[in-house]
Amino acid sequence: MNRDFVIEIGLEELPSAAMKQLLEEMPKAFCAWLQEHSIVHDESFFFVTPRRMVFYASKVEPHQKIVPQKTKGPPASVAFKNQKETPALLGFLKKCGADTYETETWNGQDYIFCTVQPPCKKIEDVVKNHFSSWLQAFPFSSQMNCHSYNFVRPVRWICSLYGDSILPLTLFSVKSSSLSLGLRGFPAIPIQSAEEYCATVREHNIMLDTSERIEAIQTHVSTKTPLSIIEKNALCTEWPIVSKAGFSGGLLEVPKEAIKTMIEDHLICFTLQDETGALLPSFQFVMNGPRNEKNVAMGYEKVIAAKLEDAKFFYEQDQKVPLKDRSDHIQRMIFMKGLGTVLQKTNRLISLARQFPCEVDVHLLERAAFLSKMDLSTHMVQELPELQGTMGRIYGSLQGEDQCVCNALETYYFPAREADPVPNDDMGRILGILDRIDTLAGAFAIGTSVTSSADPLGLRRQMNGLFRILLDRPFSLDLHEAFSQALLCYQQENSLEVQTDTVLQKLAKFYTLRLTLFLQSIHRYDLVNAALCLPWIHPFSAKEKIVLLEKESLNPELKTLCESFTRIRNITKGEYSCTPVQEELLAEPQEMALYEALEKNSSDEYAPIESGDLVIQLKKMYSLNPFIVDFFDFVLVNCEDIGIKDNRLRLLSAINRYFLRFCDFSKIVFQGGN
Amino acid sequence: MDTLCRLIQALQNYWEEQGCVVLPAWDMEIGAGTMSPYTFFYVLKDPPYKACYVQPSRRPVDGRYGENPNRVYKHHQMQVILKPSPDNIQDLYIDSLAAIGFPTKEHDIRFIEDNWAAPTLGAWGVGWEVWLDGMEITQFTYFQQVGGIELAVPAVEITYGLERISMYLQDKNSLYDLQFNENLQYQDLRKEEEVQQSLYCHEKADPKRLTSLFTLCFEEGEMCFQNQLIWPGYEYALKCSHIFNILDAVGALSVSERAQYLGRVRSLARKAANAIVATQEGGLSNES
Repeated sequence: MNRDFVIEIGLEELPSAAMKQLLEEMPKAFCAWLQEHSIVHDESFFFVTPRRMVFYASKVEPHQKIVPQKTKGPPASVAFKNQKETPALLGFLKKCGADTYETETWNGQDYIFCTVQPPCKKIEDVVKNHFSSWLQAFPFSSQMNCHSYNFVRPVRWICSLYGDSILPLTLFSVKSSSLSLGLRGFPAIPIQSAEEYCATVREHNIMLDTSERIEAIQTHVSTKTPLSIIEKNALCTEWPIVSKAGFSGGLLEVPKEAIKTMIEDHLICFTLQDETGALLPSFQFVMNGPRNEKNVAMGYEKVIAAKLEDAKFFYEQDQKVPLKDRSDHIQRMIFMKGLGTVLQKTNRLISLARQFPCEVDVHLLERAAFLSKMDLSTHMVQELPELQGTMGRIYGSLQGEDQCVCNALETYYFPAREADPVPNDDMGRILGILDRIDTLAGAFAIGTSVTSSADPLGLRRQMNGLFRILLDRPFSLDLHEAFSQALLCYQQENSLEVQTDTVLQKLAKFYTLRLTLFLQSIHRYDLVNAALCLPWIHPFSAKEKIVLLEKESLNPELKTLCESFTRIRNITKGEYSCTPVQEELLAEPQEMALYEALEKNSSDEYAPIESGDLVIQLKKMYSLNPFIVDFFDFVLVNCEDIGIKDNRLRLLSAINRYFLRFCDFSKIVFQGGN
Repeated sequence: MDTLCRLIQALQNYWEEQGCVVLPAWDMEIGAGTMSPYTFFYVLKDPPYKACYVQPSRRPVDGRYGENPNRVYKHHQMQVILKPSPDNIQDLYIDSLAAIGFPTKEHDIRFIEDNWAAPTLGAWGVGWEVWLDGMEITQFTYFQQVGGIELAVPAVEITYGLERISMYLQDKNSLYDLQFNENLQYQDLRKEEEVQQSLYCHEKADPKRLTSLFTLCFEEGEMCFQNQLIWPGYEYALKCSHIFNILDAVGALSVSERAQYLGRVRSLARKAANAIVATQEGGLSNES
């Protein structure tokens, strides 16, 4: 008779990351395992709670069901001699363990075939022999040394049944039985049969299904509650019960952000708000199973009161010294080894702010730069570092700073992580740009290097933040200029000796590499490579070019242009002479025509095209196409007259230098080859 | 468990019954029970080991002039070390809570993932902070590495925060109101010390002198290791660690300077760990 089977592996509390991985990967892996071992069943389930992994399959046949295999034996001519079975045939049958055989034609000849049924083992044996080794080999995201073995966490019990009999199973010397364990402090749970397993553990307050636990919490908390906190609770409980407790209303003086950080992030409880969004002096917490609710609430109340009392104390202390008077404090804080104090950083930001090409009120911008790091010295930020910037805004507002300045004090940290938005105000954007440029310049000035595995100062993140802000709002920032200024500030403010040229070169290399990777995650890699052909390309301009090239990629004009560009590059060996073309040496009409077309197109200034109408620029470049084609058809570059030859190379160089102002066209890849 | 004394006694009795040797605290300024040589060295040595002790633990940055009801310059940890870890270690721990007045059924006891690392000691482990009704009362760790050395036999470390547990048991909102015994409160014995230590660590400590003191201790420690004097050498690592903590509290260190000082303490701790592993010759057994 077909019965259900269940294997429950009891563990010490799993880390939430491992649980998430299991939820994602294990159902499929388990299904594949059943299939691999030809275990015929109806449905399969996998559950995980903090203390158990449960593998369940319903209506499992008692034996494996392996499809019989047809095996080819000797040719009929060998199998029979004088219509009698030969030793060859008998040997084959013996090997296959078969009594019967049939003759079939294969490749035009008669052969002996017999049908072999591989042994179908009992389900008990399959589990006993194959389950543990399979589970041990599962690539858990985290493993620990559990003394005699490595596993995700120590295994403490196994309950496994097929129908109503125990499935014998050993995992790291823990043997299976028909006993499951319930919540801590409650007695062990005898399981009568696999079919009764789920209902029985449920009666003992074990909710196996994670999504059910999430729902159980969700129905009792406000719809505004962040799902992440609900999930965290569902991943550390087996029977979540939501309850409520409170704290003294006086503690609501503490800024909302600090209260939320403490209650939601540190204690994974839920804050409560009234209709206006104001916090209430109460909160919800989750209990694991039925407990003495009064006791538990009292515990939570004590913890939260203690934390908020602390925060209130910090908040009051911090206000005794306004942000603007904290220069002494940040003078004692080092920004980075070798790069002086936080106060020096502030001073550099102020000088950079003065020079920033932008229309915001420069006095306010300077004020924001001046105040930008002051909150780092407050008790609140030292206690809750995640509130840096936020406390700057809050304290700034209380102390009568301009509202634009206050906002910028918070937003300039955005985006701190990939998922974060960029600042929504110019003041914050500019401060964010300057802060990042200063950090990057300083780190490179003292020889910090970033490798694929080591980036202790988070320089990649700083650079990506810079790109995101500039893509959102380009300003008219010359990045080479900005980084040079930043280095100059270190020389002036910190008396740091900087080998400006070398450092700028390294910075430029890092900048282009990061920008390449950043843009390639969104755009065609070849177009990104083409657009970033020069150092310090502004991210916004690079993006515009890439988008335009994407649109143009089917235009034959572009392909012609790319071919010309590559041809010129090959002839000149990529060394583009800067000597002007001598008109009097132009001999052939085709080269005259090309020269005139180029002169007409390109202004004298050979600066990279960073702005202006890119479409017009590109069209103008296309307009040279017929002249270049003509030139190559009728003019011999490598002629005998060295003067004329050099002049032609100068003409071609001028053309590619003109094209390079847009991008390196040789990098663009066309399908079907260039 | 109406007094702190009785709480300590109960925990010591409980773990003594489980085979632990009850040791005195290490007689130096120490930041956490883990740093005591009674943990640091004996988890690195081969023989099985079971011990418990109360370790006064100094955290200069936490000094609050005796004004904060929850945070102090010096608190007390009950440290339990078991090597190898028994299979029923979580149950043993839960039973210890019952023994001091927290029956599991009445309270919500949760093991919340919290992998512990002590960079100064080159040590890390896998484990949990144990929440009792939302309150973090214990750090429960399987050591995986100490002094940069992978442990063949991981030890389990259970660290109880005694003041916190007592506040809950005695239903006090300030640790200064705790009863040490029937007659003496925490504030009677410790408040003055807290005020002065905080004042010292946050304001009066002289960074310049402390910096040279750190260097002297570091060099003395190096000298010890050159002469294979592991125990004195490690004690200088502890001294450096404490001086570093004061420098940190007085605000004399930047992020990167911190890293540099920590690196020097760690290098001494690593030397001690390597040396103890290299020179151990068995001995010591409190198991059988």
